[in-house]
Amino acid sequence: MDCKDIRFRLQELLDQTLSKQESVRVERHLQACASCLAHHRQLQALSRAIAALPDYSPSPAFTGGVLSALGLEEATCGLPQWAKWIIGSFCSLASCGAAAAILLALSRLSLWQAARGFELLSDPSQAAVLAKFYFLRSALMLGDCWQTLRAWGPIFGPETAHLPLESAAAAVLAGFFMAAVLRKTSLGAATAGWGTI
Amino acid sequence: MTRHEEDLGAVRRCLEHEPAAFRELVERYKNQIFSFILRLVANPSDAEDLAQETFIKAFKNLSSYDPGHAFITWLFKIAHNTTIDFMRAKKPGTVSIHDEENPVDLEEPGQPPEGALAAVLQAAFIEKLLVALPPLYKEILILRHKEGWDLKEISRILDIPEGTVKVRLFRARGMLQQELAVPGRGGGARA
Repeated sequence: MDCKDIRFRLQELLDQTLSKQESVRVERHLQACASCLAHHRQLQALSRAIAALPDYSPSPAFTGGVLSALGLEEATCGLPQWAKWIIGSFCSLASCGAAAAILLALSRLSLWQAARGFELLSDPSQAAVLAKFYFLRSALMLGDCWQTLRAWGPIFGPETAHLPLESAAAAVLAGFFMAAVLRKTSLGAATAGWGTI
Repeated sequence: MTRHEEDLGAVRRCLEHEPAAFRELVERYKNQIFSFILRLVANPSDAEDLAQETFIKAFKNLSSYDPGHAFITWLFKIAHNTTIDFMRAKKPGTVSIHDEENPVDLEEPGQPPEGALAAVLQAAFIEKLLVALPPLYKEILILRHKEGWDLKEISRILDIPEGTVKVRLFRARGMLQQELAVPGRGGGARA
């Protein structure tokens, strides 16, 4: 085995693809040949040096960019995670309260208008129709509010994506609550149809 | 739980009901993929675009991933193909996957200058040496020594026979040693 052949074998030794028998022959040659030994050490040093090269990081927007391109996540405003969580929770609570308050106000308005209709028309069936009309109008207005709340979601990222859902749930609960209260009031006759609206 | 099992879990969740689990895989491998591509294209902006494209392609073809192999080798295969396509489109004819058919005659590398061996341990110097190599040779050195894959895995990533991997590695190391032997390279690093 001459030096030229050994140089090729040294690479195989480095890649651990040499048989045990051949490895022994190469190592024996290395003990006797300073030039091949230097070559071998150089290969090992290069291998170690490449292995020790650092990994670089892409920009902080990298992951968001990938997920956004795949439609898995909306582009976010770049706030830290904990800040988005706090803002998201605060907005959720505030929107629940706001939705409930809006529904309550609109329902009272409908009730008042229906009650007035009842007085003016002095006909319970017509007053019920009027109450349904006002409630429908209130529901449409609430729908507008919901659309506005939905637009908030992407501003703070996925942490606030649940916000419209919570608002809608709060509004429905408030609606049921109002219906239950109204049935027990003296104006129940005027709003008899509400529960079935 | 091994890294492979964690990857498989994330892939399964992605495919079944939780596509957002892909974030886990992106976070885990983005540095490795970005660094690999960056060393090939030597431009951070292009490298970032190509790395993003790699992950996007991976997600879209997740159902074709073979769980019998490591997720990261599959990812590297996509990164390799994406980068080679990009480089071919940018400079047609400069990147050939069949360089073995027209081998470059390598001179027997001389003895490195005194002290060069210590100098090669410096990362900046090695990066400089790698930049001087053609992308295919640079790539195979990174896959073998930086990522530590054996010839079989490299052959799977690059989609070439193991014999070709061996030959390419031999030439790549020879080129690196020649670069090291050039006066002002190995010797210059001492200054």
